Amino acid sequence: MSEITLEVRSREETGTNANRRLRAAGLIPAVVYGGGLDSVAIQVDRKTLHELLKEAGGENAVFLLKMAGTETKRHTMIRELSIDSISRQIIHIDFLRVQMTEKINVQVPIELVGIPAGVKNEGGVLDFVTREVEVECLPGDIPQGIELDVSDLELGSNYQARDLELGENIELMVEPDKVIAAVAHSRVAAEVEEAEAEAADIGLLEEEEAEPELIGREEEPESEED
Amino acid sequence: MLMPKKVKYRKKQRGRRRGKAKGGDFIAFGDHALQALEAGWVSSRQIESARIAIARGVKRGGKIWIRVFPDKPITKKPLETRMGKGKGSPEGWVAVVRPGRILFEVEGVDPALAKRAIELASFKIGIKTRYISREHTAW
Repeated sequence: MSEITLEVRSREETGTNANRRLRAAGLIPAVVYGGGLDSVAIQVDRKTLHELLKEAGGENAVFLLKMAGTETKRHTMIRELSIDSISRQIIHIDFLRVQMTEKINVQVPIELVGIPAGVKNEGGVLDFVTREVEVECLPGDIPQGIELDVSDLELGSNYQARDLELGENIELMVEPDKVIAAVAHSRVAAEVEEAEAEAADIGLLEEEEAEPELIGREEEPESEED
Repeated sequence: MLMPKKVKYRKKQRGRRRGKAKGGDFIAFGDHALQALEAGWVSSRQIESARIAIARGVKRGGKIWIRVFPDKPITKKPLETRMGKGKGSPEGWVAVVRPGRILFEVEGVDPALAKRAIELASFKIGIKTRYISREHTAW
């Protein structure tokens, strides 16, 4: 994975209000920590970061952070990206200092390629169970994604973590029998669902629901009789 | 319809719905989802109705996840009853939903079909919602 240079500035003001002002000004508050050094509060330009993330194709990129106005440079990776679920804006970033010669554990996304035979010919449904796997490698060797060709996957069969083709120097850190993708039966399930839906439709208005059981209250009626 | 199997108490206080969803606000299982944009109570009937809408919308195939559960009992007083004399009797179940909460997820169908099915389901929910997919990133 390519290395991305990002110019950052240190941030003197901290706290909710200061960070809100930063975001309003088109900046993102961030922090750099790890590597046995103190944490440093920084700020990043939102536009620049968006462009760089687009270019990198994901979060698993090595960022060379350059502190503006100084010669300080550090290799970092994004440890956590806080995203506002409503506005979909990045609200905060955690950068973790990394050594380019030390192996690290990262989550790498899996990309499925092709349409499974079980879906095309047998009417099954592709279930993408595990979308990310943890691997151990040097920061420079982190793959952008791991491709898995599922074209041969038949109905009722699956691909496991051991089937992933990892590059050299990349070690898988999950159980080898962890299911990545499977093709499951869908027709029967769909038919049952439809029948259920019809039944529910008819009974939707008339249905009188029973109340759930109360925990630890079974003996109550008897004791009240006394 | 969805409701708890066992509860500790029959009735609950109304509570408040301030702020945003604390969890369950990102797509975890599928590729396409229905996300709440408002706070509100989503009843078990609305959830069931929306589920049926999605199941029909995606036709055969696909997998659906319901990401909310109506675990809050709602009480109601009978009609033409004077106020007082205690809290009404349980009438139904609702899920307390805050903005950002994912209500349903869909996987394994054509994106256009999934979008249409989710939009149809959104009409069944009593609060403002929107369709989102995994491709909608922050950048």
